[in-house]
Parts: sequence; structure tokens; C-alpha cells
Amino acid sequence: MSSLLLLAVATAVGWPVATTVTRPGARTARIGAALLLGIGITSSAMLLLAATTVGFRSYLLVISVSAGLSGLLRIALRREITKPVPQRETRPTIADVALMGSVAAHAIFASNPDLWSWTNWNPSRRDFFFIWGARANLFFHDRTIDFRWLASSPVDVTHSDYPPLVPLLMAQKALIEGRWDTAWLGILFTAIGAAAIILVRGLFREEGLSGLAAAASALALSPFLLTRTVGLADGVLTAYSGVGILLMRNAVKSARSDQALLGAFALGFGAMTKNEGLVIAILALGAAYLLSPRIFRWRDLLLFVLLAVPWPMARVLSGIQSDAVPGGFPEFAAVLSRAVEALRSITVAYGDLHWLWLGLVVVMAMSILEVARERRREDLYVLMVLASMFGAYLLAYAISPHEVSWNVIGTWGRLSGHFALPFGFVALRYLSASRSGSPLGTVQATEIGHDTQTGRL
Amino acid sequence: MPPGSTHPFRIHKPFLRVLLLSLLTLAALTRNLLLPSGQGRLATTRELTTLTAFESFVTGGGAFTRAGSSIALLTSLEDYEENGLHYRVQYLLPGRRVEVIPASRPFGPGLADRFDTVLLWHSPLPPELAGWRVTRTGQGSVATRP
Repeated sequence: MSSLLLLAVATAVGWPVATTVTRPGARTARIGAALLLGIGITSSAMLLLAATTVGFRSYLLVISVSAGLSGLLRIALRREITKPVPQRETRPTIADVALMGSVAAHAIFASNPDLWSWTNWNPSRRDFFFIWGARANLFFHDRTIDFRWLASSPVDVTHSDYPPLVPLLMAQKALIEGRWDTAWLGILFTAIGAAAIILVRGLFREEGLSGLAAAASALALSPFLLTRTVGLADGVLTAYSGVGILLMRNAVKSARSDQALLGAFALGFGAMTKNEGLVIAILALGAAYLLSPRIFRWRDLLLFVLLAVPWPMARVLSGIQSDAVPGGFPEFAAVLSRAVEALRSITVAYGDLHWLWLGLVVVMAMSILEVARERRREDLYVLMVLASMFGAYLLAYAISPHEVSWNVIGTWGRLSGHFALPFGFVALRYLSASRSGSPLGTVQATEIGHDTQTGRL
Repeated sequence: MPPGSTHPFRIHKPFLRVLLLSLLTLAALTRNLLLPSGQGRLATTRELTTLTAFESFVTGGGAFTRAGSSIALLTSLEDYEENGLHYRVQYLLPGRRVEVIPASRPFGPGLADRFDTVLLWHSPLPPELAGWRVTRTGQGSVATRP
């Protein structure tokens, strides 16, 4: 089972960094963080190997360089981290059992050979065969990233500008096996979703929710992490960037540098996953700086730059174009008109998870007065990030050379998932963490350490 | 409003909170557990025929393995756009650098000079390739420079 081996090795690679940026005692959270960090670090190592023309000749070479990077990060970060507060784990609840069942169901779904087969061609899978899987296969075949070929191929065909984390992850499995085989490839995407769910559950606990309420809330958000789009990058982006925003929210709330650091890692790896991830990261870090500049250290920003910048830099140096933006910036009136059209199309776009989205919107609408009344800095942070993200996505639709409504209808079902985690987190937090003695949120302040400071503006 | 008082629109009823969370949780759980049973629309028979035949042409038929170093693939415009054959070649044979050209684009003498092999998929032999050696392979043909 090369997929399981890959996941175990990635967790081991990420472990030295995870133990630096997570609390002692939170063992499951550490495993989740280690897996996400390890996958990101191994992809960074492969990008480094490709950029230095060494190439990733063998899996052993990839792992050796990854372990070296992880060790360097551990040494660089150890001195700077603040003393973390021990966190107590809670016993599994019935909602945790349901979560485990969900993960198992997703693993079954993701491992179905029909999803990965040409023969039972499924139109919803075209982006795997045409973009992400094709590039993974290509990277594996070449044992490197052929920047010159990416730059010379038509961008509307190859989408050469798309960041490489997901193709490199899939190429790793092929490196282990010595051949391109999609069997059990989907397990990787299940594991990434599960790792993010573990972290989200921990973040709900830190909001003062009981174990049951935290697990139930994580379960309510799990469809946005255990996505149908296995083999594509959107679920992975939601895992990295969505968790990254929530970690930065925690940092804004509690001024904890370990959360800001882990958040910078997650946002950086999100930027390595999709172009939207870079936009999200810049907006999330910018909003955090505006609201709580003291949580920022040069170390975090430098780390983010080291993770997020190599791919855009490689793109520029190689002359890789993007089809997301036109050659010249269109006139303001045209952009505005197209943005309005995009907004109209979004309201009619039929998302994959529309009914869950609808539920979250209802909960948020019912909680909004409470949100406004409590005026928590951390929730203002999330709302700022979401609003600016929405504006950025509208702008992207408006300046894209593609026809607006076709573009929105074809993509919004997936892209709306990028918003779901932070949006749903705030909505569910207000639903569950009542100050009026709700059975869902009665954790005592002493149990969760210093996270109970109000953080009000 | 005095501190501690309940906002008139606040979701202050514990049972309502539990109910809402339970509904959302159940909705998510149902979706998760039903996930393995639904995978969206499968291909139509026509699409399957085209795609499996193309796969056979590309891999099983050995068109590419026999092909020379500079290769073009001519396809019908529909296959190029609707079935994305230009992507498929990359996926099926990532090591081959093949230029995929929709048959609607004029082939032109300049293009013909650039290749020593032209794979024809659902497209006729362009006049510029008159005199080339053509071999039938499944539903496609392979034209090689004489």
C-alpha cells in the first residue's frame, strides 16, 4: 500500500515541525498537523529539486531532502516559539464515531476505480485527467518539472501556471511504485481532509465547546473537506487555506505565536496548491496584520515567503503564462459590468453543497446580531478575510477573458468551498458556544488555558 | 441594552441551538455516508466509444510507439474541444511531446514541414500530406513522411 506508506512518511517528515507549533498533549492534533506539514514540506523539497535541475530521481532522495528541510525548520523555529499551554484531549463522542464513519465512507468513495478510469468516463472528473493528473503523470515521467515545456505549451490546454503541490503529491506515489497507477490515489485526499478535520475539531474545542459540540460542529463542516473532487486541488486548498485562516483567527484572538506560525505554514502551502491560495494567504495575513500587528514576527512572514514565492518566481523566470488574466487590464466600466454579472451568476449558481451552505447561511443570519453585539476581534477578522476574498474572486471573474456566466457556473460549486470553512466556523461557534448555559458550550475557562480572553475590540 | 440581558433576536433557546446543530450535523453525515453511492453522470455511450477507441488508438494500437520524433495529432474540432483529446495525449503518454491540432485549423505547408509523423483521428488526410505513407490503426490513421 504505497499510499499508506506515503502518508506515514509524510507524517514523520512533518512531525519535528508539528511538535514545535502545536501544544503538548494534543496528540491527534499533532498527527493532523504533521501530515499536512509533511505533505507540504515534501512538495517544497520536490520543487527545490526540480528548480535546481537535480530532479526527483528517487523517492529516497525526495525524503532525504524533505527530512533535511524539516530538521532545518525545527532548528530555526525552536528558539522562537512561546511556551505552549498543555491541552487536554477529550474522550471520543458519538459525533467522533460519526466523523470516523464519514472518513471511512470518503475513503471508499475515493478509492472507487471508476473515478480514476478512462473507460467509465465521468465528465465531472475531467480536471483530474486534463490538468492535475496529467501534470502528476508528466512530473513523474520526467522525474522533474519541465519548466521549459510548461512555458511553451498552450496555457489554456495545460494550465501551466497552476501551483504544483497536488501533482507533486500524486507523483510521489508513482515514485514509490515506479509506475503511474491511480489505484488508491484517492486515499491521499481522504487523509488530507481527515487531518484538517482533526485540526478544526481542536479549534472548536479551544472556543470552549464541549467535546460533543466540537465534534458535531466539525462533522457539519466535514463535507467541505471530504470533497467529491478527489484528484483535484480544491479540497486540498480548503484544507490548507481554510485551516490557515482559522489558525490566524486564533492568533488574532489569543496573540499566540504558535498559532500564527502554524497559520503561516498552512497559508503558504495553500498558496502552493492553487493560485487562489496565494490570494487568500495575502488577504489573510494582511487582515491579521491590520487587526493585530503584534502577533506578527518577521519569522512568520519570511517563512510564508519561502513557501509561497518559489512557484510564482519559477513561473516568471520560465515565462509561464496564465489564462486567468488577459494581456492588458480592461477598462474600469467593463470590469464593473462584468463583476455585476458575476455576482448575478453566483446567486443562481447551483453549488455541490447548496443545502449545507443554506444551513450555514441560516445559522449565520440568526447569529449575526450576536456577532455584531459581541464584536469579537477574531470574528471581525474572519469576516474581513471572507469579504476581501469574495471581492477578489469577483474581480478575477471580471477581468478573466472567459465568458462570465459560463465561468461562474462551471467553477462556483468548487470555489464556494474555499469560503465554507471559516464562514461555517464562525456561524457554528455562535450556535454552539452560548454564554447562557447551552448544553453545547459549557467548558470551563480553566480547561482551555488562556484562550478564554475575550479579545473584544 | 443592559449587560446580561438577552437580545430579542438572539438564538437563546438551548433546544433551538441543539436542534439546528443536529440538523446540520445530520445533513452532513447523510451526505458523507451516501458519498460512495453517487458519482455524478457517467459518460454517454457515444463518448465512451470515442474515448476508449482513442485510448486504444493511442496506446493499444501502438500509433505513438511507432511514431517518429516530431509528431502532430489531427483531430476533429469536436474531439479537440468536447472530448479534450489534446489533454488526453498528455495524460496517456506524458513523455511524448505531441502537438495536437484541431482539423478546423488550416494545416498549411509550414506545419507539414515540421513533422515527420501525423496521427489522424477522425479527420481526413490534409492535402499538404499527399504522398505520405498512411497506415490504418483502429479508428485512426498514421501518416508518415515517405
